[in-house]
Amino acid sequence: MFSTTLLMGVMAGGALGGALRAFMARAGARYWGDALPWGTLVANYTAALVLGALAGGMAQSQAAGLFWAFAATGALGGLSTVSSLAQQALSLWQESRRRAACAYLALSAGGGIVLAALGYTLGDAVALGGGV
Amino acid sequence: MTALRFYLSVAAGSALGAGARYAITLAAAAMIGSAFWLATLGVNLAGAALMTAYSTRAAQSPGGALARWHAFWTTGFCGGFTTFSLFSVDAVVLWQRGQPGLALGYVAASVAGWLAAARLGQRLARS
Repeated sequence: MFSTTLLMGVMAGGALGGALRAFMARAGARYWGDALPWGTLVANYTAALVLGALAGGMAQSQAAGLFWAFAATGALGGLSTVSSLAQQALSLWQESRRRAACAYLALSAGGGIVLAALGYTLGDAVALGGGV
Repeated sequence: MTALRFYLSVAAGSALGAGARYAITLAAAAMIGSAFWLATLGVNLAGAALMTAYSTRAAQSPGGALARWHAFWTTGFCGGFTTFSLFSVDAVVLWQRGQPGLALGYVAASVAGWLAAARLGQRLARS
């Protein structure tokens, strides 16, 4: 069901996550160079790991609440990005850095899924242990 | 643009993008039910195309309105609208539900689709 409170939660989380992603993208370019878009990669990895843990650790009923709207849909959704990822991969490809473009896509998708699965397993284990 | 203005633009755009994604996901869930991954895929394809289309157009007139709103609409709106975290978790959940073929197909279609959507956005903006 649509709720204005949940929408506000999503938007607040989205603002925070987006600003953090922009900061990480800039910091990554400054400190780790531009061989690959490291900042965006780390932002996506972090969001995949944490969202995996939340999805594994929370029951379906809890996923409808304000915490989920703010943290999962908003903050982690805003921290992660596909649009920048796609644009960066396309730019690498068009700059004739095709191996880097393929490596970036493979590292993003492969690493993100492995981290989400790892987070899911951890979250599930903690929830079963009564920690959540 | 100062750093503060940049981050505020991104935050505002990302809030709007995340809110739009939330509304679309809710509407999609009501219509397509259990095929939750379709909504994620659709949102991500649309965001990738909009990102490159906007950037391409903005680069054509560096002093223009589009260029001034670049951070808000690209890093902000498109970044907040699209979601990589949900893509990753969708793939894990499909696998967990005993649908490994669908999970692999979803991942392959997503990665190829993101790149194709980015290329399409660029093309449309140039024409």
